[in-house]
Amino acid sequence: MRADADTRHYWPLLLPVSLWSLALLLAPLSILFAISFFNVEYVTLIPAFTPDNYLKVLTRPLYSGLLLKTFKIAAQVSLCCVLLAYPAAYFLVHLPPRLRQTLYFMAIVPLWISYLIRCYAWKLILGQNGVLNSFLQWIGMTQEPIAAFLYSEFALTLTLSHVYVAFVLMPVYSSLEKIPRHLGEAASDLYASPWQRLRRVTLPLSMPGVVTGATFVFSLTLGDFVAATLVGGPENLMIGMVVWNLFGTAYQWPLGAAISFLILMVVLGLVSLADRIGALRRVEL
Amino acid sequence: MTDHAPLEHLRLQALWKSFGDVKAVRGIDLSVSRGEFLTLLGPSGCGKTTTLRMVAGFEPPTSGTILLHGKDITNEPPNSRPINTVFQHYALFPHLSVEENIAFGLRMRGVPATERQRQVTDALRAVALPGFERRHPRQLSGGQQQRVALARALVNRPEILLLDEPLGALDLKLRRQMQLELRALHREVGISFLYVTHDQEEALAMSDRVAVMNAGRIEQIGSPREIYEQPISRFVADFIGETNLLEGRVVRVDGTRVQVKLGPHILHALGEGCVTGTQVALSIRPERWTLTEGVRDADMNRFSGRVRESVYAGSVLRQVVELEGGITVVATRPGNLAGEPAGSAVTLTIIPSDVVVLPAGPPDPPA
Repeated sequence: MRADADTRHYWPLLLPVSLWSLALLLAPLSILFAISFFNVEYVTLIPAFTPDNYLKVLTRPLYSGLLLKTFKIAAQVSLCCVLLAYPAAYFLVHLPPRLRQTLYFMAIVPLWISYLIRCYAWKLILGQNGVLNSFLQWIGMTQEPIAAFLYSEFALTLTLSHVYVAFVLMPVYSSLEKIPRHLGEAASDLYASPWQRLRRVTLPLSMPGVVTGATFVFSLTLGDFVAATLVGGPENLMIGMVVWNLFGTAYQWPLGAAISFLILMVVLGLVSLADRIGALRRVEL
Repeated sequence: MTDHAPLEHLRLQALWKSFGDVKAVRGIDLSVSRGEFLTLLGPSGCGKTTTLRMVAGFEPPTSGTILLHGKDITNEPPNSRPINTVFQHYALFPHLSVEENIAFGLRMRGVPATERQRQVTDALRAVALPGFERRHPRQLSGGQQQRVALARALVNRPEILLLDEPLGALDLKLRRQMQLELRALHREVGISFLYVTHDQEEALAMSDRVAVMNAGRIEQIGSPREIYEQPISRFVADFIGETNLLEGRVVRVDGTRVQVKLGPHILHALGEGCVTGTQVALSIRPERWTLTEGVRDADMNRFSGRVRESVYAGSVLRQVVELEGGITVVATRPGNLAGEPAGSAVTLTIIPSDVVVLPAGPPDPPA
């Protein structure tokens, strides 16, 4: 009853943003969805209703293989981000408040630096004449520069992990911060060693933050194509790169649209799954 | 355990705790006997919770030692002390069921699953919550959470159970009921309880001994009766129950019989170590006044006054009486009495043994 009344009350305020979403999000997506069932002849889009594009994506190894590889990289990057961010967040929340805020800010600040610059930085570090190779040669560990650093799956995973790690750090930090101090004390009081306390109390209670962060990173990585081009090289194409080409030089909008929609479905499925896991795990703190 | 286990169980020696410039605990010496129910009672910020946290191992003392059975446990981490705590807001693990909460300590110590199961069932029965195994803390009322917290601590059979204002979040009626249950449970399990509260009524009702704390020190320690009947300072007299505190000067000392000049009146009291000519404070409990002529006795204190106000408070009738010389006192009588209306003249009497002589002025703890 009350909620209804409130919603009615706020409708005028919601209107602009609703129109905005309708015009700039829902409409283009609908058009894209329609196009994914079209045909192309030469350079003309032929309105049709054919599932061919979707079939092509799923049956041709070029596309399906690339989709799987992209999922694999996204999974790797999410895992790396969680493994890097969790200990950092755990460390941060145990610092005295002032130091904690400073360090947290410093960890978040790279988000304000352009994504492109951060990718280029890794190119400079990992390249043939890059910082890492020069260093290794200087300390005498290698004679020749190692080409394998750059343009590899490793380079791609490393770069994307660095670019997105803050998206895990933030939710994990805030979920760790919300755990009341006396729960940790209760665990110690009940004979839990510091390790058991982490595993039995802190980790389960901060799981919602981990799930949120990992979902974020996974979705962002799925759509990435810039890092793939800059540090992944031709061997490590990601599906985003293909979509970009299909909409560009290849002029295969329907196929590009079909791939985009498949990815969108996966991401939406993942987000709702994460939400459900989060809801199950969510506990009143 | 041997038959000759020392009666003294837990001993705190010269315990100090500072947080930066703030000295929260200033030299606590305390010993708890086996099976004793000892309460740390005091206003908020008096250091009682900090003391408890040091015993639990959550705060390292700035100086001093904590001995359990004569063994120094000052630097032991909380997880290796055979001491369990019932937290103020229960601190139940919200992601675990009641069963898993209670079994937590057993599990951490590697008790096998079947044995755990049995002990959890017993513990739930002991706190009158059988059948609650699968529930989660959020599905329980405050009183039920309280019981689970108790079961979770007691199932480990600790040497000492620490309780940090465990009833603070409950409403009055439930609190009274839990007080009785806690006492019964204490008698049943025979574990020493170290209890922290700011509620003097609760402390008096439950404890074997009460340590009244003020500004980081123990002001007085004794049985509830001693604390109430023979407070040794103004602070204790004022903090425990209701009292009339009056300032006067000792005019005559004859053994333990003391005469104190109070405005135009001379009051007979019993006290030790009083010196003629010194300022003292007198504490008179409101319920000890009699509003009748009383027995004709030379030592009986008798004042005439006028009722200023008469407040009916259910179980008692509280009367504010102004004595000659402008001294105002509060006297209570059973609530079923009608009482004199405001403005009427009355005679108040009190026997000397009900007048407690205390050092004058508020005690100033040296910094």
